[in-house]
Amino acid sequence: MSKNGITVLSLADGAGSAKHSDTGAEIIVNQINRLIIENFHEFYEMNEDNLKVKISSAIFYSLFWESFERNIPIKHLSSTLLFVAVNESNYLVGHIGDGMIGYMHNENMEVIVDVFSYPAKGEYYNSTFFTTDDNIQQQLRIYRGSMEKIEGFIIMSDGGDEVLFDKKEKKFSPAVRKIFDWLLDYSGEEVQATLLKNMEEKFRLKTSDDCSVGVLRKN
Amino acid sequence: MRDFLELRIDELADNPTARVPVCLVLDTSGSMVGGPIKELNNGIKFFFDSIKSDDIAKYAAEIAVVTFGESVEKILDFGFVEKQNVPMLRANGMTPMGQAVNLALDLLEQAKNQYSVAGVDYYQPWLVLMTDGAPTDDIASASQRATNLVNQKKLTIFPIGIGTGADLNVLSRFSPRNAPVRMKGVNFKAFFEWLSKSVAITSQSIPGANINLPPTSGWTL
Repeated sequence: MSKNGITVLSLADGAGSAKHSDTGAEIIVNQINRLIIENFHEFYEMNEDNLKVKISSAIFYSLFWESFERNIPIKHLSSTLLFVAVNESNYLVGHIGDGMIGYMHNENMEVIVDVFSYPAKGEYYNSTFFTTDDNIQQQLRIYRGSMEKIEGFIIMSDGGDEVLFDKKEKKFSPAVRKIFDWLLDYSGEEVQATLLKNMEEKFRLKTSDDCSVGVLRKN
Repeated sequence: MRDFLELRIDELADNPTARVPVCLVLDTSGSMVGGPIKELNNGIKFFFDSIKSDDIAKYAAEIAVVTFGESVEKILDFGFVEKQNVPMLRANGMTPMGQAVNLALDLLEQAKNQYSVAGVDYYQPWLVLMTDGAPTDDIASASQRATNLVNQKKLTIFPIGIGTGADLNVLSRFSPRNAPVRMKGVNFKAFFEWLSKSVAITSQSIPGANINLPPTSGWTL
């Protein structure tokens, strides 16, 4: 989503144990996109603790109202959350739970893809943190900084990092750099269609989990 | 141009399947001689065969076996099921259950460390404790260790009594959450069928999902 010189890329992966997690994920993505677009400059300057309160409160109330209106437990709307917002100069990134955020940056005249934010999860494979957890403010990780050396960001659900991140070597697979490079030569719509096709044909051979991937690169 | 828009399989990560470590801690004391040990051996073979026949579980399950009888022995350490030989157990001696559980907990800890170093994800480990009697050694430290791990959600214990001689009160000291159950006769095959199905269900679960294991009514009293 882009508006007023700000672009927001967000992803919420519904909890497998939550009955209406698809609805919860959709609500959170829409809420975060709107909230960040409207308040990017203020949020960028804000004290981190206050920012966490603002964002987590917005998440809680949007899910609370949905659960109230539908008379369902709020936990049924659980999901993870990853978002990246940028303007010409700065970025604002947030992350709750698993999934990964990578970034492409310039280092000593070389363009490198690195991990920006690791998954936050329990010790075990099937344990992670969600938007409905009681300690959401502690689980919300916020990053802010300059876009000067950054070329772009990629966000992915845990199913995505199964396929795009080598857990032993702790580095992204060559496919990530290739996906970033598609954005140099093709439109966003073409890259979206191509990525989807590759996910349907290739990713499914590597994981049984569902996958979501979002990527943005400077023009 | 088309090639550029294709992601090749070798450009994608090749991460190993998340592991389900299962340690079987089995009573092979003298009272298991005859029919019980024969049925236990048949059950273990069935368990391995079932895991090997499941396309996901065979890569996910890692099984270790510790026995307690004449001595406490690590019969099988954690590893790929397909590369493991099904052990043949023999029964004799006493019931040093505390020492066996301590060894099993050490093995589980080692396995978790190895997974972490290798970048392999893993599920909460399982410890299956089976006995037809009561311990002949001190179980205080082992039961406290196991209880702490269970309470910290770092271990799942399945305590199972075999026949009417098994002391379920003692077994319950290892397991603050799952109450001990008594197996119907020596129906090991039904138990291991349940266990292999449970491993298969767990290995196919996705992060955040509740894992509902099959009912135990087929093999418990």
